[in-house]
Amino acid sequence: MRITKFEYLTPSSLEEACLVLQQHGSQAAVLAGGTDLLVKMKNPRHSHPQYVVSLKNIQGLEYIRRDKDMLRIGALTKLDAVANSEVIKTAYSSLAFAADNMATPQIRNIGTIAGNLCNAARSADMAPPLMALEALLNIVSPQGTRTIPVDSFFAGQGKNTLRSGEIVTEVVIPLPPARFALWYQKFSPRSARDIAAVGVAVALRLDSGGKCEKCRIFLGAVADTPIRAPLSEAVITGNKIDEVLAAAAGKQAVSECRPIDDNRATADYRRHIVGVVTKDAILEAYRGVVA
Amino acid sequence: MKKTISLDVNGATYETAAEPQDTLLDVLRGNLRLTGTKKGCETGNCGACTVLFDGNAVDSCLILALEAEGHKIITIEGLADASKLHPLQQAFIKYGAIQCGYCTPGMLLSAKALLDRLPRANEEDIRKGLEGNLCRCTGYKQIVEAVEAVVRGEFK
Amino acid sequence: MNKFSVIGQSVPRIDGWAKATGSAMYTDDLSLPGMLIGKLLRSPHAHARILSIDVSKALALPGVKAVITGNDPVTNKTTHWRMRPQLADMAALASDRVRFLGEEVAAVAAVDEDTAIEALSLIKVEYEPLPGVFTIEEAIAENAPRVHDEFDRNINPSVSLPVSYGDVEKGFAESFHVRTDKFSTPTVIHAYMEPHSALASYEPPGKLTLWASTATPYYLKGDVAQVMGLRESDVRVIKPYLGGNFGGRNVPFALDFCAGLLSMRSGKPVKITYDRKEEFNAAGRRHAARLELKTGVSKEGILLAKEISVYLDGGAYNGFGPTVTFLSGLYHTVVYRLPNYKFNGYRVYTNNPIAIGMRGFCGPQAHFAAETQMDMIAEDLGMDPVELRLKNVIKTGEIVPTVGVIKSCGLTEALNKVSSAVNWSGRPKEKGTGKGMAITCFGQMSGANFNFYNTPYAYSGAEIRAYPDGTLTLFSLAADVGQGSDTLLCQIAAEELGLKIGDVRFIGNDTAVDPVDLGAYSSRQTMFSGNAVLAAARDLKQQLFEAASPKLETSVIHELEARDGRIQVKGSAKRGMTFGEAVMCVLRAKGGKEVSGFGTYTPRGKGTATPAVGYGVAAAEVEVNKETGVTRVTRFTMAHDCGTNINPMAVEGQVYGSIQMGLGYALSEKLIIDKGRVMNANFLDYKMPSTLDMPEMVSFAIDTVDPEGPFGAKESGEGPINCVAPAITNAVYNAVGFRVMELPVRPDDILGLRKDKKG
Repeated sequence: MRITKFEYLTPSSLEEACLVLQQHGSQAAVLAGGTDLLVKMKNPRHSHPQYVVSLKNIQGLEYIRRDKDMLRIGALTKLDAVANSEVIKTAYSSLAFAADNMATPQIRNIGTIAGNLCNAARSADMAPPLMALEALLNIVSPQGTRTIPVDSFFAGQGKNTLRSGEIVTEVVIPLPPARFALWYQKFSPRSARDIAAVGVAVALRLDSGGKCEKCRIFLGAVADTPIRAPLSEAVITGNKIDEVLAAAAGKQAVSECRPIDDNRATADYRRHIVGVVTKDAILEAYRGVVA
Repeated sequence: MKKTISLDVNGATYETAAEPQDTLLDVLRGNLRLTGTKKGCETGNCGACTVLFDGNAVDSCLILALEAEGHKIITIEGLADASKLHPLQQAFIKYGAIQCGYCTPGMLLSAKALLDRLPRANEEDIRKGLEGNLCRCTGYKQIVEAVEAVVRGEFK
Repeated sequence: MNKFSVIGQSVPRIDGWAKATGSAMYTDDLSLPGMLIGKLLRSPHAHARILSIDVSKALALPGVKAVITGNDPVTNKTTHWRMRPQLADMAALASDRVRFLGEEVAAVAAVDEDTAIEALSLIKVEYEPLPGVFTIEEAIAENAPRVHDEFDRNINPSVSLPVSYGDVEKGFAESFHVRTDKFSTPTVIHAYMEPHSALASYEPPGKLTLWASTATPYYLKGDVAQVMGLRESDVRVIKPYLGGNFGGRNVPFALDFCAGLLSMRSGKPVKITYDRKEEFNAAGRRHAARLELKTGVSKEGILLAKEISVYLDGGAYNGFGPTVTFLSGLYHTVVYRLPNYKFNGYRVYTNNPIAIGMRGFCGPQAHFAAETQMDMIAEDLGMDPVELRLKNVIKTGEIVPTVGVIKSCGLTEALNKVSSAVNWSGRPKEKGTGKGMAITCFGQMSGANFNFYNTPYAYSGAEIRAYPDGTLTLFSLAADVGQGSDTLLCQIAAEELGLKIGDVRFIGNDTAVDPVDLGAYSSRQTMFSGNAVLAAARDLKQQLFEAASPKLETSVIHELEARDGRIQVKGSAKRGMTFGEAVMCVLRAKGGKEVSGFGTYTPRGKGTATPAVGYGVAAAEVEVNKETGVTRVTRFTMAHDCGTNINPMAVEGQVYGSIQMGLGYALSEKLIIDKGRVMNANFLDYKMPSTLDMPEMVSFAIDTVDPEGPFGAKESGEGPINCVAPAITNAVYNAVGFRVMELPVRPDDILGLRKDKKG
């Protein structure tokens, strides 16, 4: 199982990296952790980049810090660091939990937060919680920098909206307002090391009377990309959350997902699970606020 | 095109030539003849190729050799002191945690990374810490028991 | 109190240090000067005629040293069933036709792996695709495309074995209740952690050394010699450390032959190692099975008759298929008393990769059907399923027509032990709570008696050399595949000769050095190889006694013993000498000739199947999530009658490993095959249990002593897996009322979300 031959490039600055990427266009791929890229490059059925642009000589992309009302996570921050960061655990324990419950320790020690997003798997575990949190991505290119919400980053299974020459440098997450909680629930029939068959993230803000003031629900692994479930959100918003309401929202989410049959689960089963997991995630998020 | 790289493995520095497409696993086994690191699946799903990378357990099949420069790598050959086995090695032997032995090097290094981080790991921590290492022989029970024995301080 | 000093001790493995330090060399770890890397070109079609193969461009690539195809002159076919040469269909490479996707059509040897891969891409093969058959149902349909032209409906009559005794029709007529059920089991793979590897070094004019990841070096030697046109002993097979077997290394694969042929062609050593994808696509697998069981019982629940029909998906070739087919019936006869029995087994050719034996050798399939149906019968009769089993289980001394006298059977004790350990009588009886428990039984042969290979040798042989320093070297070709047979055989030698385990060095795994042993399959190493080692130890001991007697001035009434490192008058430690001194006596008496004992074991007159049967009972406790349909096994208990427990820690390891593999079989493992293409050829999507999937496990040993076994021991490597899956699936039924007739049970089956399935 050999990786096909390629040219290995090690730019020493972001500017240089962007230029190299722009120069080679679709022939080039960015190597961050590589846990997804190298597996693809070992599979003869995938198309392979001729140029691999390593970011290893670029300093300053691996950090987690609190900056005023934002959490800033460097693009090359390892999933393991996300999982174990006290800063993240304090703000959003469920985000840390999501990182801690994907793949294996060995992969969490190599794979990066931005890599998980850029790989753009429909089942990417980092995506639904970041989307629910209205996280942003800072992106650089030879043309300058831009910022986009994570929820507009995915363009299809394995596709993102990065343009040629662009590199994600930072994930920015607003710190939680009052009476707010996030919950990410992943479901796979086997243990956590599996790819999610369904992943649901729910971010909730309650008003002072305990009713849902705002709610964002994102579903992973049940469409081409992680998707938002606005109808399900509408069931919750403005209401007092209880089992019955959560179940109704779960039922609504079932109608919003567009799962496929694959080796991991059938579409019918995924739809069923979306209902169960959405209901559970809403209730857990709610408990997270009231606790 | 081969590039000359310098790797820090088990405290020694090795100069060797690697192709860009060579993984760290390829170079450890092929160039350095450190064959204790095993090739099980090559896609990061079995953990047989686990090594310590700056103290963390990683799948060496998913790291390019050229990316490993500047990092401290420990393989199974570097786990024991010259004079005696690491407590985990002693425990694995004593507790029947080894059968065919093919997963053993990776399993031991994952266990070491875990205990370096969580010296008082409980059974649940151990199971989670070894989740990335598949074993087809043991059902994991005696492996978990061996690590628990080390946590208890049964081996020095 | 243990009457033994080494037997019965949880002796750590003798290879523990090597394996824990990474110094144990497996085949792919080996390297020879000038060694080339070999790669195999595989068919992209599941069934096709090969019209032409052009290797000229590959040969012209710099760095390529040899290319071979199935049309090269020296490539004979071989079989494990030498008594039936018409079954010879194991070949190095396909010649005129490919019969499964991934079948090997050409092989290259080059200076490195990248060059070898590039060379493969330069070989041009012209195929004419043919229609294929991929399931048992497709294969046996009228006018189905034929995998082998000579076999209508893809059934080879000489691999289809009817067996019967008694009169089933009479038995059914006398039955109070008769039920017929159909069961289905999936294709699963061995998934040993070490991929196959073979390193061949050919030395003209005709000697080949082959290091190979095989569990049967003796068979491999014969098979490779046959294919390469060499004399059998021109081939020397060495088995380095082996990373798991589970039956997956009992037949040769293309790499074993091609490494030899490429070395012969290139004049250089050649190594071929499969990657995991090749393992999934082109190595062995467990037969998928369709089983139909018709069983009659009396009002009291006594089994009166059983008629079994089994269809197995054999894949494209025979492999170990005939044996698997025969055994798929045998299991039904050794666990429960059965006066009337009729079995028809058909192994069906399909355009899938070859199916071979896998842990239990069709035991898991047979037990899944039998043990599920036992619970169904108990429910029909309104009887406690454990009580039903207690009424029917075989007891020591009973005669089973397919086996002979069962000389030891601990099933009753095991049922009682497990029932009380899990508080069976106190379990909640109502269904649908989401929690459930079930108890099942197993039986497993301790080594196969049939001589399908037509070997002129004893089935197991051993030599023990003794030295004046009080140490031994034990030579045996028994294959330690991870189960620990090397350690166990050293224990047997040490026990019989009154030495310590550390006094014994094991030299095995080399056909040019060791006495013949047929290797590791059918759970035969303890019974067969152990008996050979015991015989060799006795032979040696006799020589030591003869030489020591005069020195010890014994009278005719005295008996000697080997104990605590000494040869002494029994019960009188003072009248003796050290073991080494006794060896010196023999050495001097024989003029310096090596002091050596030989022993063999062949199961003559021990029935048609096996000299002894290992038994056991399992209890599964499960929780089924009624919202997600996911089953979690919370505790798994096993009581195992393996005769005398030679090494409790090693036996427990076999039990826990069997639970793990059986749990995967029940809940998650299945090769998803679409028109011959494996869709989940990786460990992400082929779901074998990880640390987090395993339940609490409890293992009990049931003490029996089998008069045939060395120190009374029987098998332990395979039996325990047999009844794991039905214990879990019967517990699922007791938890949520969903009866599992098809493995693995899926959450959506349990929830009733699959329209084509009914519980």
